[in-house]
This record gives sequence, C-alpha cells and structure tokens, in this order.
Amino acid sequence: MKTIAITSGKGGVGKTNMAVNFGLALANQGKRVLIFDADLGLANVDILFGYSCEHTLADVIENRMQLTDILVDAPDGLKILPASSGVLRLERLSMSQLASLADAMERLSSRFDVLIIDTGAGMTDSVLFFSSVADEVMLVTTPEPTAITDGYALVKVLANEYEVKSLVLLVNEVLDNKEAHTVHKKLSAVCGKHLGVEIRFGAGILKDTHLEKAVRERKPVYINYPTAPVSQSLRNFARTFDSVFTSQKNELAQKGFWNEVLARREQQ
Amino acid sequence: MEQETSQFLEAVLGGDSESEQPLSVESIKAKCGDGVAYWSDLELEDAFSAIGLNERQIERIQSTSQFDKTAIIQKLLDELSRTTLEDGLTKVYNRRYFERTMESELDRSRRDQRPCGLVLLDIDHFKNFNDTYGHDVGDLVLKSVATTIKNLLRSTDTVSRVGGEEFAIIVPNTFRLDAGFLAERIRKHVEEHKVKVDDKALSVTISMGIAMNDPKLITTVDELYKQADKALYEAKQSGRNCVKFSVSETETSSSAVTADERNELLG
Ligand SMILES: Nc1ncnc2c1ncn2[C@@H]1O[C@H](COP(=O)(O)OP(=O)(O)OP(=O)(O)O)[C@@H](O)[C@H]1O
Ligand SMILES: [Mg+2]
Repeated sequence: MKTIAITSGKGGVGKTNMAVNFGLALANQGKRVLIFDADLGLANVDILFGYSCEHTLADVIENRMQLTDILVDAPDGLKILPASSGVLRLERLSMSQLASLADAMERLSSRFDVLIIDTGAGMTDSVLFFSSVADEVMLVTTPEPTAITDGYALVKVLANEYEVKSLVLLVNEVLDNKEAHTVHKKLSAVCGKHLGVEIRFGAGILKDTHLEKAVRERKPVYINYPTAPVSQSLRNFARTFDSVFTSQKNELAQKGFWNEVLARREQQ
Repeated sequence: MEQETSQFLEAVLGGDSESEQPLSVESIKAKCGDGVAYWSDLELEDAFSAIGLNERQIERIQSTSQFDKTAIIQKLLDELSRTTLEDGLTKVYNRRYFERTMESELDRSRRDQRPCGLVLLDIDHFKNFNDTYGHDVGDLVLKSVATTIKNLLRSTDTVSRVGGEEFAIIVPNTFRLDAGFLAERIRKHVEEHKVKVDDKALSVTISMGIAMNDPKLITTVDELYKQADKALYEAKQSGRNCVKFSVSETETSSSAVTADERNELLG
C-alpha cells in the first residue's frame, strides 16, 4: 500500500476536493483506494459525499468499534475512513492513542493499494505526523501568493524537523497548464536552493465552476460531472500515478513505522 | 592485560594509600586530558601525585609499561567519574553528570546538525508512597523506576536523577517523534508493571515532558530544561500519567520564512 499525505500551508486550497476526486479517478482506473479523513478538526469528506456517518474514528480510538466496521463505501469500491467533525483533535491524542491508531491503520494495509490521507492545513501536530510517516507528501497550493508562501513555510518545517526531502506538488485552480508549471518552477527553485528539498511536479488542476456546483450538490465533481475540465485533468493525473508517486519509505516504515519504533527498543 | 590492569588498579586505589588528599575528578581531568597516551614519565608522575597517589604507588605504576600506565589512568578516571557522577540510591547518573552531558550533547547536536532531546520525568503522587508506606518503600519505588528507564533506553541515551522523584533522560541524535515513542514506551511500561514490596504490589505512574533543541540555534541547558519542565507541568495538569511535548518558540522561528525566501517565491 502506498500512503500519500495531502497537505497545504493555507486552508481552503482544495485538499479535500482533490483527495476525494483524485481518489475516485484512481479507483475508477482499478486501484483499491482508501481515503482517510484525518482533518479531524474539520472533517468534511463525508459532507462532500453527502453522507452522514454514524460511526467515526472517535469510536475506534475510544475502543467502541473496529476500524474495519466504520469504513464507508463510495463508488468504484473507494472506501472512506471518516473522522468526526470538530469532536476530536489529533493533536490532543496521547502518543499511546496515536500508536494504537497507527496500529489499526497498519492492519488495513493489505486490503488497499493507495491510502490518501487528507491531513488538513498548517503546522498542527497531526499534519506533521502524517506527513512524516507517509510514503509521499502531496502539497496542494493555488497560484495565489499567500497559498504559495504558506505552502513553502510548511515545506520548510517538514524539511527542517521531519526529514522530508521530496514532495509532489499539485497546483489547483489554475487557468492553464502553463500557470501550474510557473508555480512549480518557482517553488522548486526556492525549495531546492534554501532547503535542499526536491519538489516534483504532480499536476495542474483547472479552476472549474463545475467543482463549486458539485460541492453545493454535496456530490464529488468526478461523479456528477465526469466530463468537466476539472474531472478530466484529475483523470489524466491518475494515469500518471505510478510514475509520479515513486517514493517509498524504507522497509522499516513499510512494515509499520510506529510499531518498529517501539519494537526497536525491545530488541536492544 | 585487562585483568592485570584492574588488579593493579585495585592495589593502587586500595587500602595502602597513605595520602589524605581527596581524589577529585576535576584535578585529574585537568592533568590528564585526552592526550594521556603521549605523556612523558615526568608528566605522568605529576599527574599521579596530583590525584593523591603516594610515592610507593607511583613507583609501582612507573615500573609498568607505558601502555599499561595509560590504561591505568583511564581506569582511574572512569572509576572516579562513576562514583562522583552516580546517584547513590538509584545507581543512575546524578544531576552533575546530567548538566555536563547535556551541555556537550547540545554542542554535538549543533556540530552534527542533528536534533537532541531532553525528557523530564516525574513520579506521580510520589509523596503518597513515602507518607503511606514509609521512606524505605519510597526508595524502592525510585529504584524500580530508575531500573525500568535504564532497561528501555538505547545505548546512546542516558538517565540521571535530577531531583527527589525527578529524572532526566538525554536522547541525542533523535527526531521528535522517536523521542515521543521512547517516552511513551517508558510511561506504559511503568504503568503496567507494579512495584512489589513485601506482600504489596504498588501501582506507579509517571508524567513526562519532552523538549527538542533546534540544532540551528544555540540552546542552553537551562533553556531546554525550562521547556521540558513546562511540558512536564502540562502533563501533570492534564491528568498525569502521560507524555507532553514542549512547543518551543525557537523550534518554529528557525523554520519561519525569511524575507529572501519570500521575495524569491513571489518575484
Ligand atoms: N479546481 C477548483 N475549481 C474551482 N473551485 C475550486 C477548485 N478547487 C477548490 N475549489 C473551491 O475551494 C473550496 C474549498 O475546497 P476544499 O474544501 O477542498 O479545500 P481544503 O483545502 O480541503 O480546505 P480546508 O483547508 O478547509 O480543509 C471549494 O469548496 C471550492 O469552492
Ligand atoms: Mg479539507
């Protein structure tokens, strides 16, 4: 299973919409995809799908439910792991709760090819936590200056404090592909020069009113408007998945980063 | 040779010393730096008398080979360090050792550009053990926690008793999350293993606070200690028996976006 943490410096740049619709495009192409709504402060994957989830991650953390029992079915076999809106904040979880959550996640790994983690924005512990343990981090930004500088600030913290040295960039709400490449060129130059971080181009996703319409209809745009420009660009992006998302954490991480860290001490 | 040296050392340190002078690590360290192997006989003689050995002892040492002499001095230093830097009750390091080691680890962290962590740990409601069962039991609890910590640490980590029921763990060359997991592991182990005293089994829990230095900045032992202490206080405030990280201003400030970076991004 390949884990991808979707993050952004600034909020509202389209992380959740990208996670959901990119996930759908991947599922549509035959991949087994799980979306983890880890933006526990402001859970909204379920709202985007128009579902209301009876059970959430809070039930798992408090040992009332098994992780597999709370997964929600979406089209094309896509599954969603819902969080609970506002009730729970990952940064308030103890290390032991985090560890048992990670353990539960680990057990899901054989059932999926791709795990997309919608982490939320900014530099909260949960964003940093998931970004540091995932195989890949996908940074979402728009061409807007504050979105770019906030994104850079996040990359800087990830590089300085969490040893993240390579990320995939998705530039959302662009007018054309050229604009996406301009943003990528700038970010990758500054990240390379000052941080020694590699920024790989993922995709430019068009600004498209179909997406806003779909949001209002509480359905993913990929489902309600499969031929809209934004759906098209996500479909193209999904086709490049295997050549873009090439990073894999070392074996230690694959086997279960969290448990390995704990077990390492036992062996000594 | 190893065997001989320690026998010799025993003889040297043992009963027949006529010197009244107390051995001080400082004085030896001042005399015997890292370059001990290259010392002349005369210099060695000076060092030996400085640490309070009498003439006969010095004579015995001088009659051994240069290599043995170096080994003896090293052993002497180690032995002295152990006794003056160890906590008598729990046999972990003491506060003095902690302060020195923390300082040199912070130096090293800056040199290698790898973060170093400090974990402060306090036994919850320790006073109750003393008040309810007496000081002997309190001491047993301290010893047991100290042993648990020692057993769970990596070879590069060190634990010191820095206060009545407070311990400090130095975790060099470690990233934040790893320090967190290490601390959590200790916390859990203490919680799950009762301390057996006679026919009683006592439940002990600990609270922990973690501070990480930023290798790009100069952080003093004092500053890092204060940060960890603040995190420990937070752990106590939020119900004890848990691990908290300090959120340091310095940690984020070195990762703040500079004017140059901003200009280049937007230019
Ligand atoms: N490609 C797009 N075209 C048009 N509008 C878009 C596009 N992407 C996002 N938006 C707009 O941005 C809004 C926010 O999107 P979304 O909720 O996915 O952002 P987010 O990054 O997940 O936000 P948060 O940080 O609050 O979690 C959408 O409701 C939509 O109006
Ligand atoms: Mg969102």
